[in-house]
Amino acid sequence: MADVIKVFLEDPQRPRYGFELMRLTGQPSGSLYPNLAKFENAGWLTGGKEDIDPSAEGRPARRWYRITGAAVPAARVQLDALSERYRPPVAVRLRLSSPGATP
Amino acid sequence: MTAWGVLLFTGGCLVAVLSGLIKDEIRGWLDLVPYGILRLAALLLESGQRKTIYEDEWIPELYHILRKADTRPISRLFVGIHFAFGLLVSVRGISRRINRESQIDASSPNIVPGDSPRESLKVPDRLTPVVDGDETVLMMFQTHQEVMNSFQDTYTALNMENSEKDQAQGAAAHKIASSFISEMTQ
Repeated sequence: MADVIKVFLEDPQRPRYGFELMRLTGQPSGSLYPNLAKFENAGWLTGGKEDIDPSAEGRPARRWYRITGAAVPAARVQLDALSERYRPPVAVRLRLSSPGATP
Repeated sequence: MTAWGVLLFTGGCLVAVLSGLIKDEIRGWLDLVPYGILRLAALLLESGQRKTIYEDEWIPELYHILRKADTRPISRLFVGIHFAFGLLVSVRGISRRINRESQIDASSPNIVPGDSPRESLKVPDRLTPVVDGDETVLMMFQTHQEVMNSFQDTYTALNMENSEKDQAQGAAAHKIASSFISEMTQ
């Protein structure tokens, strides 16, 4: 789920589409769409339809999602906290960064 | 000998044309497979959800996948089936979730999806925790200071746009933050 929010934070103003998010996060549709519904209903994401004329474009309007203004700082704080939680201990990081170290 | 040559040439042309037609026919039928799977998934949705989920979201996305995403037919078919089958497997959960949370939405009028490109700047009255299994992945702010910092960032970001509308939204965010902070600190 954090992967999805991370994509939105890369450019908060940019609308994202379901298939684009599937590609960027590597999540299958069966996981992604329930997550999008969760985020949208919790107020983290908002959605709308493309502003196109389907008959002129020859295709139906797609639905986009965008992170809400209030969710941007909250999500940044939470992703930082997640990153901190899963960061390896200092000793491990030093060992990995030393010359000749093997992961 | 000349008659055989003409016959062979004509036969060759016929085979080439027919194989092209058969190829197009098979391609057309194969493109229908993901739509069929998606249609099956839609049957498992409640009738009220079919318009908003199946017609407005899944079909346009599958159309995009099959027409735009990849021009190679086998890859396109694979991605289309993968997309549709994933939704078929999870359709019950999606339906339940939307059903349950649409009741919550009714009490939160600020969290209403819309078509405006500026929709993301609408400030919801509150963010609720997002839970994945037993773990709360994205929680509401932990501390008073985080609330202050987060809403201050939002207020600043909204005001940076300089338009009257944005400033009004920034002020609204600030007002919500202030009332939220006072609630938390009481």
